[in-house]
Amino acid sequence: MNDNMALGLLAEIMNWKSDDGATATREYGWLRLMSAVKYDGYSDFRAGARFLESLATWLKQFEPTDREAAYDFVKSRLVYISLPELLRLIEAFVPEFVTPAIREVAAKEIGVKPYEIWRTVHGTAAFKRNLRKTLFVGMSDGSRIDILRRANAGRISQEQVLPMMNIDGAKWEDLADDLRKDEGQDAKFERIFLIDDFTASGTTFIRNVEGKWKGKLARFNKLIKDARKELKDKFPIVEGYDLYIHHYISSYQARLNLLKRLDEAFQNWDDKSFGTVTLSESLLLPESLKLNAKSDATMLALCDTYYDHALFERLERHCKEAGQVDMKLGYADCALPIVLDHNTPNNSISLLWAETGGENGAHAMRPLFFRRDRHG
Amino acid sequence: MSNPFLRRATEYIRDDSAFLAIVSPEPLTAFLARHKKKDALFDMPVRLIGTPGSGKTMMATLVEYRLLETILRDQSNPNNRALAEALVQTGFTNGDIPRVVAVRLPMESEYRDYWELPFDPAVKTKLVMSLIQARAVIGWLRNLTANNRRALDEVRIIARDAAGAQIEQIGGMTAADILKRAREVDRAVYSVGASLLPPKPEQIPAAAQAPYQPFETIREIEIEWNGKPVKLQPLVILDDVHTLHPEQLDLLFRALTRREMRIGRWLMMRLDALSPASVFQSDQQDAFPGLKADRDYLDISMQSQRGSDRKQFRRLAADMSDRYLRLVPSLANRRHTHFARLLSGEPPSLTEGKLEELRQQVAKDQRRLKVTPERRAAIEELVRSYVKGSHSTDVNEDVQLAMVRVLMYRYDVRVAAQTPSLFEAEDPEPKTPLKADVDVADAARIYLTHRFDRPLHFGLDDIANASNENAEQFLHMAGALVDRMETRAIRNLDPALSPSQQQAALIDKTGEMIAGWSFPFARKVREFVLHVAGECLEESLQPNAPLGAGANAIAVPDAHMVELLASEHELAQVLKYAQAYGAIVAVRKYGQGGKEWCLLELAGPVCLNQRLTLKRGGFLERRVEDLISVVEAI
Amino acid sequence: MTSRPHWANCITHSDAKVDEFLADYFAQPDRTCLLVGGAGFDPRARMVAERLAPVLGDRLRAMFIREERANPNADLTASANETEAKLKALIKNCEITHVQIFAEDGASVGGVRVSQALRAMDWPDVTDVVLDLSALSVGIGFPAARVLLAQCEERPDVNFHLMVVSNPELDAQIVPEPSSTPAVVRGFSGPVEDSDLEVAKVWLPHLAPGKRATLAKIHGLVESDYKICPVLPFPSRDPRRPDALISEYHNELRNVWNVDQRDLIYVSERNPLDAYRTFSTLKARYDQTMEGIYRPQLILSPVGSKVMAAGALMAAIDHNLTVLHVEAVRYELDSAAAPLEATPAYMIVHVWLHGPIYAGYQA
Repeated sequence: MNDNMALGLLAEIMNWKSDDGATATREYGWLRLMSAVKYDGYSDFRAGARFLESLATWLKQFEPTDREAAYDFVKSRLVYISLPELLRLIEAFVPEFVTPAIREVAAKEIGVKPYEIWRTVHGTAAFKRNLRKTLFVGMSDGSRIDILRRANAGRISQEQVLPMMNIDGAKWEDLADDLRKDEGQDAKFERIFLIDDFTASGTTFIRNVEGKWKGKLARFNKLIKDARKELKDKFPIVEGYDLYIHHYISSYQARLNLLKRLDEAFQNWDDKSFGTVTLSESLLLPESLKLNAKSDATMLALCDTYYDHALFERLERHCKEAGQVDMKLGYADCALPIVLDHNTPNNSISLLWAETGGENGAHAMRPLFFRRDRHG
Repeated sequence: MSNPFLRRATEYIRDDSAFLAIVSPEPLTAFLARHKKKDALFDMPVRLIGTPGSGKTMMATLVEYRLLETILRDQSNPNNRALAEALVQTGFTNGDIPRVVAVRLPMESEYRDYWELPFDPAVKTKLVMSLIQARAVIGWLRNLTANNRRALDEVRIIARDAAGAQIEQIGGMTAADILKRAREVDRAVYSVGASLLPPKPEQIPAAAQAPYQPFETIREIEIEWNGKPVKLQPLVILDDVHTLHPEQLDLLFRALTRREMRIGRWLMMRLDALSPASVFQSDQQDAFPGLKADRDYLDISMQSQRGSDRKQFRRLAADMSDRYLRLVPSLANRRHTHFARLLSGEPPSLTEGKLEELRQQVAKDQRRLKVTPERRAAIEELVRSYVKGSHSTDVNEDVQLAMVRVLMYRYDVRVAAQTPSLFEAEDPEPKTPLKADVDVADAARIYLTHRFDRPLHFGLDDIANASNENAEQFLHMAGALVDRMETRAIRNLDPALSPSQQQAALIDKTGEMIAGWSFPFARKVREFVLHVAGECLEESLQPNAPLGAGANAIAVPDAHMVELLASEHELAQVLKYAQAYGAIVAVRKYGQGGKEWCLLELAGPVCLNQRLTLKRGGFLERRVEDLISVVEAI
Repeated sequence: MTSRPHWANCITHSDAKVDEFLADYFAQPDRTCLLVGGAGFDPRARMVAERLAPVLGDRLRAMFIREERANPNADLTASANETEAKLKALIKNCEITHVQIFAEDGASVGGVRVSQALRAMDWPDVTDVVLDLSALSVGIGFPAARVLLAQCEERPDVNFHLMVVSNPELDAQIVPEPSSTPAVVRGFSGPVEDSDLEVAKVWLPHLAPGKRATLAKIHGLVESDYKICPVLPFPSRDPRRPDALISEYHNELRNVWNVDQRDLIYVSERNPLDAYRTFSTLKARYDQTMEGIYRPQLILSPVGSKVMAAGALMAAIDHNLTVLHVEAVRYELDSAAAPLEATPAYMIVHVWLHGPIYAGYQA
């Protein structure tokens, strides 16, 4: 069994005493279970080199006296969102966030309370109408629009869900035609849900760099404006539409940052295409998740010691905007202990995901959950 | 990947061959095969009283017809042959031919629920009787047609000669008709019991009200076996009848003692020694006033008598653990098939450093007690001749030295009680001569355990003895050891565990078990039990070892216990639950020293965890008031 | 198949929105309300009443159920008495019904007793019925819900609401001492057997801290299961909660229950409709897959968060599922845990199960 060798190796690396075997026995049980339930599913792992092997390699980079703290971090601090868990978050999106929002809007339209929307056929029709006039746009692969579509088959039309931001004029026209077929000649989309999987700092979505607004929202806003200019009346989105921003997973800090910046943008963008903006998330990570000096001093010390600055240099261009000087605590110094099954966010402490060559005497960082880096 | 020792036995039931691999025939041979009234087992109602974990459910599942047939049909397998042998001995089969068609009906809470219906007791009893009979019929037919072994029309129901109108009441003469009627009755009665709104008595569905007596009507069931017709005696086994209301059970039992019934009727239950039922029942003759044991019904107790030396259970434990071991790939692959052999019984030895410490301690004690060198030499001679004649291998230098220590202290105590004679030398003879025996050896080992951390409990027998005759408890403790063995195998070490590795694993596991107790008053029970263990330990470590191996129980006068149990005092609750959930073992009317005691033994896992002796007999005398103070202080 | 298509999307509110809703809806002068809830030691017992009373005033009447068990912890009894007094002060028209949970032989009879009590009650002329599950044990709350829902569904103009105040961290501090006999919850035995097919039992235990002994007992009743699919809370307030539970139950998952890791079910800790939808989908899937081969029987054991239990309740009622449960003989407070007041915030959920507001609903 592959497992046995890796487990034996771990016992050696962690110095679990062989004489009574209590520690090893207990840990083997936990390791096998968690590998099977969660960690072996990590997209970067391959058969024969999965979590246990990765853990062994990762632990070996630490001095023997530091391994206990590192192992403990994995056991008690790591937050790993597996694919089944992510699926739940995606499946919760429409029933928990979209439906109540549409109820509100539809109720207002026909002049009843939101909870009365289904009292009459009239209300139900208003609900359906408003649902149809909603556009769902995925901001990245992580939005898993394919899963979102499947989970809501029959409830949401294919023609209201867009898998990416780069939509050309022809696509806009198609959307417009379909909408008019369903809801009449004058029909336009009245609200847009922008969906993304994960935000830890909020900066990818929206940030202000030396007076210039950047990020996905700015790009989307421009996209709308350009398309409207091009298509004029044929453009199927109303002026001042309601914008809803939804992440499946958001850190506490990201939510705060996003609220602040969205507010600023709302005040200061003269050319904003949206009329209102609402922020929501399927899973809001608690404030206490971030590694902090009080509870995580030991682990933070490890982040400090076992660090290769070459990592920062490699990603410098991207990081500098966030105003940080090293990569020990991850992008924007978020210091999160989080791993997603398809990739580890760079906002997590770099010890979790970084791999470096260890040149010029630096420590060669070994990842536990290797991150496929988009930026380099 | 999972540890089969820790799987619930019922999990194996789903898969016949898996179940047959682990079920042991021991309970059948132990309790039924040798019963003096073995022949009446299928004629009279039988009450089987077992302790939790005694294997009664496994046994009942084993004898169900479906499995019985599986065993008979495949005799190539030595495992099945052993099971077949037990079935012959108990009368379930006649050599290779089945004799009994049995079905097990667990008396779950839904049966008790009928007692809550707003009807007359007679009506409620009739409903439950109909339900049981219907389900028994369905069960027999299901068992006979299981695995496509025969079709329903190949089963012939033979009625009692004087059955008459009853035949129509049970649906007719063919198995298909009888099954149809049974299902109707089952549904009708079930719907009365399960509904949130019970019907008025006059609205009870006809199928549930109509007379229905298959237990009286059916005499035998005939099938074809290897081309010849064979008549089978039907048997219904009602499991866990103690969940019924006592009045309900009484009425049901009486209904089942009707002489017209030809089918076998077994009722399995557990009886807690401190429960009201047993406390106020002086002997089993009074269990059902008007009915007499042996004349109207049989009583079988599925627990070994205290007099026996737990040999029976040890056999079961050995058999079970070997069977389970074969299901552990990492060990079976390395050809380990005897669990006992993976538990090293080699006597643990102290390190040279500790041995030297021991020698010096004994020397110090000798000086303190003013024991002369001659006296010491005499004592050592006693010990040596004991060692020579002893069967145990665990009598090396460390044990011998500790024995000498015990005997020196005993010497001291004995002569101190004697009036000194003017003519005696400084080395008087004790009136009662000193003896080096197994008690002294046990006392020596306890001393070494607590003073030098020498393992006390190791080997299969110790684990079996610590299980309180509870198969599941045994498997859990053995399972913990198996986990350690697997860990060693992973690291390419010899999986066998040394005594100290066994002791460490057992202390950890039993600690977990005790910490995990979750039942009413669990917290108080835990504290109480640990307190008692502390007192027992103190006594066990007396240097002169008055109780030999030491104490692992306390006892109060039996009459006082009766009083206590009748009261509402918190201590009564604590003890009742402690006994019901296996934290203590209570023995009523225990005779010792001319008095009758109620003995409260600490459960095996507690003794393992606290490193007290597993040998029976050593107890501390207490009064009820003492125990009350202990509980109140918690 | 469901006869209640609106349940998949019924009106729910949580936390602050609940307060908004109650303040708005019940302020309407023609609304009258019957509140049925528990009056026990649990601090959550008062919270719904405290929100309804100021808005409804005289238009509110209540029936509080006091679950009686033998040998209770004295501190908990004192708390319960205090709660009862506060509730009586809060609501003028208020009745306290004492329900014995156990009969003298130790059998669990609370469900029967509470069903009888609710049916014996004169049905009041109210526009709304609110069942507060927060302080009721499953053995009492579930049958109560079934009886009340049945009565409301006979009256198309009457509204039936469920409310739950939940706090998983607090749940972990209240330690139940389970009885030795697991049982089917009154009214939730599942469908009557009427086929030849073998039953394939699928057990869905909710994993919750400190409930290993309870689930072990219930498991004893599920002899020969086809499959065990443990239910874990996710999304949850603490994202590590599922992992901590997997760790706590690792012996059960690996050994005793032998669970395949793909059979773990994740259900929202805060939205009961998630549990309802998940179990409904599971039932439909099994019915389809096993048609003609086995008769699938889904068995729920909602021993954890009351919010998840509310969803299980809905699924059990709508699809006639079996609910297995062990009644607690006593409760103790976990002395190691922080005091009851200092735990994280309560979550409050409202689910509107029945009423004329669904008259126009189309799936």
